[in-house]
Amino acid sequence: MKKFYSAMSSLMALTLLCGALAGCGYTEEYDYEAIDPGTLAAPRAEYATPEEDAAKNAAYRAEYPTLDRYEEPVTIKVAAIQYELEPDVKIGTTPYNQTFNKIALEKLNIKLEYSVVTASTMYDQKVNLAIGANQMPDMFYTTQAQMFTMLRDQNMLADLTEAYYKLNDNLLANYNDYMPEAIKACMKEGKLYALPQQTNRFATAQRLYIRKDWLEIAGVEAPTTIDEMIDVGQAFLDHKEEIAAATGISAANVIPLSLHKDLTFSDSYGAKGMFNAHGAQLGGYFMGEDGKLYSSNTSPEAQAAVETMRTMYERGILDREFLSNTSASVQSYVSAGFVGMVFGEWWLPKDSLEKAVTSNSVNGADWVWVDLPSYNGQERRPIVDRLLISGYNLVSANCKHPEAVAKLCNLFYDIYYSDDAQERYGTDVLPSNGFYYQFVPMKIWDGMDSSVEYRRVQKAFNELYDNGLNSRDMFKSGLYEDLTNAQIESSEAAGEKIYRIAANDSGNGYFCIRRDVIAQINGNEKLKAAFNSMRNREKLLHFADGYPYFVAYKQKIATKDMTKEEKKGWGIYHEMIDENGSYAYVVALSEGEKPAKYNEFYGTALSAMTDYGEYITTQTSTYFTKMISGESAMSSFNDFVKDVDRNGGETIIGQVNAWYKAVHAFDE
Amino acid sequence: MENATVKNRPMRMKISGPRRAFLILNTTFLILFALLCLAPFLNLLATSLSSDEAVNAGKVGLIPVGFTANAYKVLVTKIAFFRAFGMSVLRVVLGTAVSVGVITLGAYPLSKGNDAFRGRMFYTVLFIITMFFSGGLVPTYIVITKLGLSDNILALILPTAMNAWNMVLLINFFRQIPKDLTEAATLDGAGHYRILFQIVLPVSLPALATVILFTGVQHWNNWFDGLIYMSPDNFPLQTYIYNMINEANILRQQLVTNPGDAALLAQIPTKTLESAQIFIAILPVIPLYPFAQKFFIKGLVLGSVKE
Repeated sequence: MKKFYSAMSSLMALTLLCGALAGCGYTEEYDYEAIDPGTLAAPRAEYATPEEDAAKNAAYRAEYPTLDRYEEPVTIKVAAIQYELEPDVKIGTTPYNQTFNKIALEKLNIKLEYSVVTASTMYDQKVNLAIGANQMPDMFYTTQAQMFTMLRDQNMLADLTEAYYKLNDNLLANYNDYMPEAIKACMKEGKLYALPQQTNRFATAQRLYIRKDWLEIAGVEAPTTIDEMIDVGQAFLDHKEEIAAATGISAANVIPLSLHKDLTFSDSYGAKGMFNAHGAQLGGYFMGEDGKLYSSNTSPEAQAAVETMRTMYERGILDREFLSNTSASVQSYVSAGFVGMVFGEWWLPKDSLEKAVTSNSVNGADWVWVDLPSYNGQERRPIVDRLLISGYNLVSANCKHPEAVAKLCNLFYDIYYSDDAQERYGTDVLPSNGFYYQFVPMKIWDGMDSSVEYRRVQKAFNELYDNGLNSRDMFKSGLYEDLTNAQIESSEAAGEKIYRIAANDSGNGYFCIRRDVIAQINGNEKLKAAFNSMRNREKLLHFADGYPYFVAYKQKIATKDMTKEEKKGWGIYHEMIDENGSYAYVVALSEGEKPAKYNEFYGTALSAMTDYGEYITTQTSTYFTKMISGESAMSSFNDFVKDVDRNGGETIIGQVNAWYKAVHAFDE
Repeated sequence: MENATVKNRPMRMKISGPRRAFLILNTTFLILFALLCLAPFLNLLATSLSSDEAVNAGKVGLIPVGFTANAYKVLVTKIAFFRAFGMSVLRVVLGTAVSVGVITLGAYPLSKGNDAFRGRMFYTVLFIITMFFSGGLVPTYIVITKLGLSDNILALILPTAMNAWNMVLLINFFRQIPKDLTEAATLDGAGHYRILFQIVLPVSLPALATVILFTGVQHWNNWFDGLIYMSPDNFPLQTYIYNMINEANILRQQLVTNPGDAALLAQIPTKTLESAQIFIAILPVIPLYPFAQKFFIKGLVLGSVKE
């Protein structure tokens, strides 16, 4: 018996030892496997765009048709995210009953069966769960890079090369011209395992938004450097009594600069813009002069950013209470007209800036925005990821018709992006009849379309204005007309086109674009052409909200003197329509007119990041917050660097460099 | 005579000075504490009744600023909210009924001695195991979907119907019931079902009330299973609210991909509307405790047996 116990205890000790050794081993010997993307099998016919060579394109399309119908019905199990309905969509529309299913069945003979349908907050987990339960849908969309690599490496995904070639000319051109590296990132050994969602990485670029009226009151210009930014903040502070008197808020509420409490928060309303302005990005990795990647958290640039914020905090420019701010609270202070400067992405005007402009309790709020201020004479550049894939369209290896994914993408594209969809597919393509782009299981956007959208709408607006649609009196009261269902029916029976914007408050009808304005537009060929150059969504959103503002703006009426209905268009106009609008900056970056700095690390977290990442993020935030609030001296930055290096930082850097080498191993 | 009048005067309890001070302090403290618990609810109510601007400016404390019932007016038109509300009510009623039924039927035999119920030990252990170990999320998901219960209200009711904790509670209560009561009934010719329903249950009201309250509140508050098993059209209320609060963040992240989502973001309810919905959601639970109070009376069996 004694022998038995001693044998058992030795065995136990051995097991524990093995476990401990294994635990040590895997981080030390970690080696990122290089993935050879290879080259895709060449198409059976040479491709040319219709503009380049119509005959060649026709020959190619004979081989790779975009929308050919299956002879026998094909059933495909898919997943969908059920978002809230936008107001123009028929009430009661769900992924199960949307008209896209009907059109897919009629035109392609594809029967869509929804095996996973859930709200956006649970979508990724539910798909995970379904895969775990061996119920993976045939085709689905995911935002998780980790899920994609895991499924790819376990051979659970279908090769989509054939599907890729079947995509329509616009989608192909987008992939080929704008995002070949995204396609490459989805390839392995000559096979394509996902159709990446088309994304514009420059849409994450940060800018500095500033209250224009405050600048005027304080008598200063928008800053171009960090030093000037500090001066502007100081000027806001020095003039807070005047600002309070002019805008109607209390002087105690004048906040020159507001930020999210978590310095590592990397979205709008946070400190990301501040770090970027100094050339740093928390969690980012940049190429050093020695040809190796270094972590930005421990870099001198990050230190400089912390020092700037420390100065601002000391002087009261940076909100003294920022340590209790979430992004929602910064957003609400901006909306309430308390904040002078805030960092954010392009969508801020319509999000919170507009609320300050239209608020009844703030007088004369207006905004300007500038590129990130430069630090120490450096170029003014935002920082974006080298490669950004925000989602993947995946097809299960068990799916018998992987090429159907291309057909569905093409069909969606055809309906959503072309203006004659109604002629070809009938009234089922109207949101008011139950077509909702968010419910379509394949997520393919014309990524570059948004870039031209603002130019198209800008052009249409100017043409409408120049051709006589420019009386301010006509638009003072806005473009909305509250119609009952009976009124809409009788108008439509009389052959009038009714543009439903949203269901009205009483629930028995819709707010529509004013019929008299539509009648005037249709009475003039030039107006009609200009109006119809806009897409339906643009008519309902950009035109219905933005045009009254545009007319007043064009006549140089100050925002504060506009009517409530005119002010309503401020956000959409300055975001998506104005040539100096916030989205125009994204376009300028995409087209290479403005420079950007790139974060070289992207993709799924490496093993050391999973192990130590959380600790390092917490330490970064804690150390930096203490330095900014003056609780510890700037010299503690050195302690921070040591702390991080000792606790996993060096391992992570090692892995990141190994990863970089592996990812670029097959670069030409 | 005088003495008698003195004697008949109601007795006044003498309270010493320090004791009185303690009582005053204690009562004040407890009242303040109770008010403190009320504060978040008042803040929620005040937010729901204030103007958007005042809420954004962080001006709203316990009293509405810029009073408006607009949020409630908008809420009345929100079909999805009321559908979710109805789903939750249905779930609570049905879920509690099923659960209490199953638990009672399980607790009764297990409350008997080993000689009356031979396999008792086996079943007790079986149920106790479920208190500490579960199959895990994925296996449960497989079972539910294979049973064809996804998007069915039974998926929210059946998995939690047999709650071993509550059953143990009932077993212990049943054991305290004097044996003489059930023995007397047996002598009069009553079977087990008659004893359970006509003797045991009526004297176990306090325990039953506790179980009903626990189960009901648990069904009302549960949001996770709704998220997993139900489609958005059939979300129970708490799931609906969870989604409402978190969706804005998800949409903001997506703006990178599709600027068109800005239109969708505009559909996200404002803070006031959000508060109004949360307030309505907690309303049914608030009065539950005081009303259930009257069932929590011990000693119903007092005097039923003479030793």
